[in-house]
Amino acid sequence: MAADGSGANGRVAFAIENLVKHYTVKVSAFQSEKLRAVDGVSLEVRRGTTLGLVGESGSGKSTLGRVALRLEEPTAGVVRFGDTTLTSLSGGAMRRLRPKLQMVFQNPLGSLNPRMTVGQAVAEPLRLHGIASGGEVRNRVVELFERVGLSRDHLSRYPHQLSGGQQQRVGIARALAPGPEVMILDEPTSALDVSVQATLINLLRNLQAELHLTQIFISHDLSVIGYLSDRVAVMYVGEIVEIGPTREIYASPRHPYTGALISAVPSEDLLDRRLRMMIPGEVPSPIKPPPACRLAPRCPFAKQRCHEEKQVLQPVGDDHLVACWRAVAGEISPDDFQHQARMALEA
Amino acid sequence: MTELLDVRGLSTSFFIRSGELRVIDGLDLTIDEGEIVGLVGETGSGKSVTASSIIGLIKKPGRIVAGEVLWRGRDLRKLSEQTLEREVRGKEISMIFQNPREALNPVIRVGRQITQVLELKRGMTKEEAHVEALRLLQSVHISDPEQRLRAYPHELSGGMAQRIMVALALAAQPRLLIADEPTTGLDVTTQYQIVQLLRELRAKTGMAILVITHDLALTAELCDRLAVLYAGRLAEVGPLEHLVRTPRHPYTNALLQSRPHVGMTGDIPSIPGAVADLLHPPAGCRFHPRCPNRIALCSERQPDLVLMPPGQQAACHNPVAIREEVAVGGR
Repeated sequence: MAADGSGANGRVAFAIENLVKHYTVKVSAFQSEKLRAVDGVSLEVRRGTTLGLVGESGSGKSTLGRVALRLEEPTAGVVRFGDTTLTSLSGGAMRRLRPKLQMVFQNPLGSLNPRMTVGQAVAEPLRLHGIASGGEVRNRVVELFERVGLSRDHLSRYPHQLSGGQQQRVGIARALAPGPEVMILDEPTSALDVSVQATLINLLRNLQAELHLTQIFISHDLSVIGYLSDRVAVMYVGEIVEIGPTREIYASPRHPYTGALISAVPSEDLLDRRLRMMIPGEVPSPIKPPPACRLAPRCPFAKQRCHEEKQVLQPVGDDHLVACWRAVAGEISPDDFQHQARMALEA
Repeated sequence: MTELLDVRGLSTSFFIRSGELRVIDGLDLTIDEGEIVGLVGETGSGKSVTASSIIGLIKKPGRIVAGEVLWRGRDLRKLSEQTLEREVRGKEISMIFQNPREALNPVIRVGRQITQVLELKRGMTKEEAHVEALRLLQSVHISDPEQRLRAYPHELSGGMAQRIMVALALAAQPRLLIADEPTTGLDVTTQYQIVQLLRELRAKTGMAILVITHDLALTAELCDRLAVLYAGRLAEVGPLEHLVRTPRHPYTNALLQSRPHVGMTGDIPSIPGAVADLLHPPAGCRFHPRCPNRIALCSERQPDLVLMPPGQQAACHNPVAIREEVAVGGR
């Protein structure tokens, strides 16, 4: 990767450096503790590409999305959009940039006003950001509705009169209205049924290509991420443990945690039961995460050093980084993950 | 194998202001001893209502309007509420749910919730119940069982709470466990642990399991047989392998096709339109407005479930052709 972010792989449109978001939570009447939702995350998204951000619940992936767009203020760290450092902008300057940076949420109903028709909901950001006025607004709204696969008939409906899939289409139209360059999508299809999910994923994929959007797609669903993303970042308890090109990560994951996640992805033939890597126990709390490598207490490959030394992302290939010294040293490979799965099955 | 459950022509409706919602419409379903059956469907397919209908937990404005629920030969619909509660529900048939923490009583320690069932349903003394509760927690692989028995539900992680729910369901030594979305909402790594646990328990105790889910990938790891529901009617039912590899109903086929995967190029094949409106369901086959295989007959006559090669039943006038390589025995 070139230092200026340009080069063969295209320009970086959106970058996060050492982003931290800690919350203070009360654990009892007299005691508060720090919840490390996002704990020093760095990543880059190149112009017109999609970065998939995967992680289980409590990994901090949704917090990362909100903080990256300053819907919440970070505790520390830098977010860059092109040449602009978002994290040092004033409120007013940030508001002026807002149209370029949009977010789509899992639950569209939560972000739609129940007393506003969905046509009005999509018109609102157009007027708010001074993108259109007067009769122009209606034309733009109709255009946006068509773009997301809704008809004119839907304009005068209220959110509750639409199906879940249609509501999410409205959510997408609303995010597209101000003409964004960067979109962060947080589990946009997770609440939908399989048959509806497929049409929404197709829509998002086609919109990304047509509008050349720079995207971060947050999901726990590795099948969806694998289909939609150019690159993938894997989060575990507030940290990124692996990041790299999608095909490479799916074909040969290097971090044991990525290995376990990938081995759980259903194959095209559902009966082709691949060996699943077993990781015992559960995701630890971000309030008191393990001190060194956060996976170490559950990791079948952990050595003494893993419990003592914090792991940082290091290159294991072109544009492929992993936070595991054993993977970097070539001591463990995807073959070992397969072997572990076989042993676990026999046991 | 012996038949445990035989549901015949079950119809359950909800009577709301705007009319009768026919949520389940003439459903047939059997479960044998020790069998794991997956009841697969999307939102509004009636899969959860089917479970509630079986164990007699349909509340107003819902009502079973027709059919029989034969449990080891007796019709559960004819039993009084007391008999059902004393002899069947939570004893011969247990249930686990999607949100285990919500299903547990938040103000009672989990140990007490288990021992209560043991005292009530198996007539144990307090001491016996405590010993058995410990054994149950061990059987669902909970470490520190003594300590966990003293925990309150909110102190448990999602995976732990689901294990406790399974232990609680096992307390009465049921012959059938109904598992409603048992892994939805759990983390990927934890999901697999629960799947392994359910399979292990079936092997050890011989209980049957009815898995209710929207997740075909889950059923492929767990089930012997599948029943696919669409808008309150069975689309297809048969052995897992047949339904997954050679689906005959276009809906089963579409569900299988509509999963994205790595390396897939172009659009994901998807099902156009929305799930049928149960207040005004389409005439004939309820799937016909969305079906790529529809013929004129589909909107005129409801198809019956009929046996089709390679060995499942499908309710379709114009079923999906069997791919050639499969027909000649390849793969």
